[in-house]
Amino acid sequence: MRTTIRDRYRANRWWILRLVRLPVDIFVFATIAFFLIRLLPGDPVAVAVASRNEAVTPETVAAVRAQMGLDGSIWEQLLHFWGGLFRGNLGDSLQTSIPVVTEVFSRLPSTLELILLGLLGAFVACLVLGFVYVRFANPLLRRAVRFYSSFATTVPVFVVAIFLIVLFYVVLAWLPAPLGRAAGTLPVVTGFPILDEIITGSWSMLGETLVAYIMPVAAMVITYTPNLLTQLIGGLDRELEQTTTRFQVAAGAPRRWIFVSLFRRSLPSVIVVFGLFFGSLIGGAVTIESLFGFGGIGQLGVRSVQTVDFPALQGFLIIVVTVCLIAMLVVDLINMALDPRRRPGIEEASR
Amino acid sequence: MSAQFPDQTAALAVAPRRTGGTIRAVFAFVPLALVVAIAVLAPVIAPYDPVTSVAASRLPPSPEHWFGTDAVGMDILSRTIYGARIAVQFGVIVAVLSTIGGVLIGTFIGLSESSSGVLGLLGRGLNQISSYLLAIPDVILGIVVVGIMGSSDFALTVAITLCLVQAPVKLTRVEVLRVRRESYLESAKLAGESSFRAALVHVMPNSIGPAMRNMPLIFGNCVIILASLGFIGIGVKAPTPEWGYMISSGLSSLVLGRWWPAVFPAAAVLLSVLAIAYSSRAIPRMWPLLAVRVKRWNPIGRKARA
Repeated sequence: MRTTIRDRYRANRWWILRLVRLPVDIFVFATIAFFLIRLLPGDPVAVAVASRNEAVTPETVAAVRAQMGLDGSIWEQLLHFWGGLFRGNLGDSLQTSIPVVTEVFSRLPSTLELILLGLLGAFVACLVLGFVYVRFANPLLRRAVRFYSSFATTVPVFVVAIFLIVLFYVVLAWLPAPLGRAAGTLPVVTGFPILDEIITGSWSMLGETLVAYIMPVAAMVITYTPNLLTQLIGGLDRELEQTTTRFQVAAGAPRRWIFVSLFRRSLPSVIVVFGLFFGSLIGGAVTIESLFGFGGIGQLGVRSVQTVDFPALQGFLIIVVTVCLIAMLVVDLINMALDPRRRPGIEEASR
Repeated sequence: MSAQFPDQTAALAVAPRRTGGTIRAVFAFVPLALVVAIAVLAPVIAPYDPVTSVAASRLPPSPEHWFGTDAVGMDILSRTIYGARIAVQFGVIVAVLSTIGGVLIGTFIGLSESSSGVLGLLGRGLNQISSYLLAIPDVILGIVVVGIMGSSDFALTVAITLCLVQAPVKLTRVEVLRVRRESYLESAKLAGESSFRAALVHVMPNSIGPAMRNMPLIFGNCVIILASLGFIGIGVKAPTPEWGYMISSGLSSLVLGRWWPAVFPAAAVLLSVLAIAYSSRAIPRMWPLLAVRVKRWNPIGRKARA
């Protein structure tokens, strides 16, 4: 039965190899980040010492250096760093003495929740507008959709949010002030605020959170939809011309099926952009969190800057990029599942 | 940052119409020119000094202070105008630095990556590093770099350049890979030119095109990142009239119903970013026209074909 196992491996090689690459990617990136932040001009120790109101003695400098893990030669530091990386330990925050990994992961879920809501909203909006674009022949409508998609990637998300706040809070007074999610302390089970509130049954807090989410999510949808829409419209324009579509129409296939087939063929590039934008969404989420008073990884980052918390900054960078790399992995897997031509090695196999 | 790649090549394929094309293409640069003009002429246009208190604090918009005054009585109109100056200063420096750096690194990677030995190893390594850096969210990289270097204009410039240099690196590398196969390089080699000179004189001028066209996009992204970093509180130092910082310091009054300290700088960010984006979209249309002109003036100018 050896051949069966081998065949099975061959059929599934595409996702197995891609999964194996992830830890390698994370390791390589962490090493690059290690060198990058040490090669930067400027000395965090000097900055940290200067920000304290004490007399600067060589002893305090040495103590701060040791605290930051910046003592010893760079190779000793690297070995130490690698050791910590394999044990999932990126050092303790200087400010709170809590392991950086714990600190980031306790804040990450709420940020991810915001990003996922924004992304899903943008995705749905993109599909709806794409459908409108294909379904209705009205040139004005089509031009409006095209015009909206031409705003891709330009306006920062917090600027859009400011205008939403002015309109819906200051002028119309329909929505509450941008001052955090919900009053009261949130029970922490999973770290995802909405999920926690559902699990613990705090329905009034859930309501408040959902209302507080309206503006930030709307701002993210308005800002990030054009990026996806540009890709979708490009794909739709291309696929409409294809003989496949013409054949479907000529053969009298139901309208619904033509649309489904059209969208299925146009979506891969949208999903690629989806993954690429994950990074800029994390960046956008940081500004949005700071604007609406949500605690999240952005808050942690800003606090670490203000206190020159070197280990926290290093861990923060590595974990955020790890999340981005995982998002890219998911995008790759979805795309390879949707379209087998994207799987590596498929060319040799078919020959 | 990744969105810098898609529609440029597609737009390039469309040849510009000769008649009227030039005028339209030139008009497309009016918004960008306007932003730069406001930045350059800020001391002339701005009615008050941007960093001193000139009136009572928190005045609503009035004929004396069109945009009102902020929490310490500084004139918001003047600060918004000077904000353009800060944004353009950073934008130009970062765009020039990252284009030059990107072209140099990209050329090096493109030329060395397939050779064996130390150089090839270095080239492939740099290429990989650049791919990994491309995965870091801009704002996050900004936070980390400013955190380690301490808050200063220099740190901000390094942070934003590090975010934005990756696009010209990748664009130039791809161009160099194409140019490398051209026969004039072989001729140069046979004529006895050193490979360093060939890289400088033949390869680089012929592969800078995409990176140059990318420059206004870097400019626009720089404005966005600078405003974002200023907004979360790690941008330029306090009294400097920077838009992101102005918006975030106007937030507390926004909640209390005083909308003007936050809204005007936000509108400035919005308009300038849209203006820059609009003009940079016109560049692919403008580029061939420009190339034709330069070629006509200077028939042997190699650089015109870039």
